Parts: sequence; C-alpha cells; structure tokens
Amino acid sequence: MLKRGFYQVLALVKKDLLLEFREVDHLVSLLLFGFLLLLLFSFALSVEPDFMRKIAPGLFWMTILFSSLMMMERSFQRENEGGQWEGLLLTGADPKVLYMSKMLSNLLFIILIQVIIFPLMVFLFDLSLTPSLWSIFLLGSLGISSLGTTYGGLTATLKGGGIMLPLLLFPMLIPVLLASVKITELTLAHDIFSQREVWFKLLILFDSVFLLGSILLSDVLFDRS
Amino acid sequence: MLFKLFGAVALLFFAYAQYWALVRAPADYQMGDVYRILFVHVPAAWNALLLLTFSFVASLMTLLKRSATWDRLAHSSIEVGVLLTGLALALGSIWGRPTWGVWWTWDPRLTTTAILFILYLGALMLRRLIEDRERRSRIMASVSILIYLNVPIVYFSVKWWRTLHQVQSNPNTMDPAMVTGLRLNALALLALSLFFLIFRYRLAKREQINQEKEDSK
Repeated sequence: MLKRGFYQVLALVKKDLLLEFREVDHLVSLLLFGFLLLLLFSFALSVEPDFMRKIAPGLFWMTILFSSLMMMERSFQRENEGGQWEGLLLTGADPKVLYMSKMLSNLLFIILIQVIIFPLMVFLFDLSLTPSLWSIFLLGSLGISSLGTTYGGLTATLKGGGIMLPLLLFPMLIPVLLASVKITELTLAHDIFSQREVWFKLLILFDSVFLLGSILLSDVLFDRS
Repeated sequence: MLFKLFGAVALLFFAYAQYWALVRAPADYQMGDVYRILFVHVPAAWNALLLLTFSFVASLMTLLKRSATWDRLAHSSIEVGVLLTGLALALGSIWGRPTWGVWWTWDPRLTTTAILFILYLGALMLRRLIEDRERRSRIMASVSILIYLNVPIVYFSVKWWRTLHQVQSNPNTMDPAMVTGLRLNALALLALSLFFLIFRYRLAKREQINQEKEDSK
C-alpha cells in the first residue's frame, strides 16, 4: 500500500514536471518576475552596496515568497480546467497521494527558482556564495510548499479565491520567513556565534507540524465530494 | 426569555465590575489613572484566547462528528474571539501611547496578537466565499485547526526575533482592590462573551433555516 502510494506520487510528480517543462514560458516568466522584483527592490530602497548587502537575505526570501505564490496558483489552475482533478480522484488515488505529489512538484520548482535567483543576487549585490546554504534552501521551501499546496488547493476552486491565497497563506508563513531570513543572514556572515541552531530547530518544527497536519487534512480538503 | 435575562444580568455584572475598576481600585503609583484601561484590556485578551481555544476544540469536533452544531459553535466562537482580540489590540494601543510613548511597537506579544487577528479575519472571509454548507464546515474546521497550531510557533519565532510588553503583574504585587476589580472584569467579560456566543449561535441556526427554506422554493 505504501509502496503503491510512493509510485503514484512519483508518477504524478513526473506528470507535473513534464507539463511544466513542455510549456516553459510560465517558468521563464516566473524567473523574470523574480529578477524584476530584485530590480524594483533596489530602486525602491537604495543603491548603497553596504545597505543592500545587509538586507539582501530579506529581499531574497520576499522574492521567493512572491514567486512561489504564483507557482501555487498555477499548479492548481491546470487541474481545474476540464475537471482534471476529479479525473485524478476517479482513478482511485488517495487524496494524500495527490497532496504529496503536488507538494513535491511545488517544492522542486521553488528550489529551482532559488537556485537561479540566488546566484543572480550574488552577482547583483556582491554577496559571498557559500555552499552551506543548501539546507536552508531545502527547509525554507519545504515550509512554503507544504502550507502553500494546502491553501493553493483550497482556494483554487473558490470564486474570488485569487486574493484569498496570499491573505491566508502569508501570515501563516511568518515563522518560515523569519527563520529563513535569519539563517541566510547568519550563514552569509559566517555565523561566528552559532546562533543558527535555534532557528533551524524552529524551522524543522514548523515543517514537520504543517507537513503532517496537511497530510492528515488532505482527506478533508482535497476530496471534492 | 431566560436568554434575555442572562444578557441583562451579564450587562449589569459588567457595569458592577466597572464600578470596581473606576472607583474602588486605587490609582497606580506610576501610571496614575491611565492604567484603568487595563481592567478591560487584560480580560479581553484572556477571553479572546479562551474563545479561540474553544473554537479549536469545536473545529476538531466538527471534523470528527461531522455535525452542523459544532460548526456553528466554532464559527460563533471565532467571531466573538476576533472581536475581543481587536478590542484588546485597540485598548492596548490607546494605553501604550501615554505609557510607552508610541501607539505601536514590534514587541513579540503585540506582533503575535496582530498576526492572530489577521489570520482569523482571513478565515472568516474565506467562510463567506464557500456556499456549500457541508464543504464549508470541513474547510473552515481544517483552516482554523492549522491556524491554532501555528499560533505558538509564531509566538516563539517573533520572540526570538525581538526580545516592551511588560512582564505580567501577579496578585502579590497588586493592591487587593485591583485584583478584585480585574477578576470581576474578567468574569463579567466572560459572561458577556458567552452571551454573544450563544446569540451568534442562534443567529447562525436561523440563517440556516432561512437558507433551507429558500433552497426548497
């Protein structure tokens, strides 16, 4: 049963990736949007290199948050066209499987955005690129995608749900945003006093609580009967 | 009839509690009379937390029992809880201006309360968008469970982020008349909140009956 679910998740993730890479224009526009946000931030705030370097972690995560929001909306939009979601449910797939597959494909796309946007920031804001950032990329995007998928699936079917998604999701993601920004900041500053631990713990707690909660609630939320 | 009587008694009780807050309790040795706003601010915050906790329990029960009664209870308690949270925020702000010198500060407790306020307001807005009753009750229960789980995490994260809200006083450091005034106010506000809760619950029931009548037409 568990093994079958695993293969189902893999197949669905593969489907999402395939569809997204076949029509790359959305992914490209998402990355352009991220790049544009970086430009806008630097115009709106200041061009002083020292100041920009200081606030770069916050700007980075804001950019990721906004881009992920567009990702979430997109990922359910396609399923709603022509009742494809109902089709998936008719195959007898467990709502948990549907949730996990959507969560994983969103996670992969958020990580992809990060992997492209961050070097861009390094280039534009003269930051130092440290390999130890991979863990925070992973944990931060896991937090965003675990709750984002839940809320994205929830608001996708509503009339006027477009504005509800950020309204519901962003306040929930405040712990993730805070912890991710702090860890990125400390990592870039080489974390001399090793203050990262406590933020890592918070982030892991958040990720596990909401991943588990979302899986448990997916029966209720994703089964559209 | 009995319900109206309960409301009247709660209101009278609240007025009596204000007599303790405004007349019997002595002025604070530092803050003077300004502190008297806390007689409503603190009980509002307490009762808001109580009602929102109750809404969490009611949401769990909605999912477990699939009952419309628990759904209505959860909805009503969130509405009254949001009202009290807003009251606590507004009164705290009015008190903060003369005492701290600012209307607002990014202190953990304030920030957490503001986030809590927005989270539940969002949930109430979401509720209006879903028409099917069965589906609405399931979605609302899930969302409010998620929100309630997040509140302690938000609190700790904000606390580590900013470490001006005072440490709470305890009964030993306060004048006995102040303690009595505060307790009476807490109880009076609890009674009033219960009155609102039941009122909102009955209203929700009537709304549903109305809806069903319209649907069957």
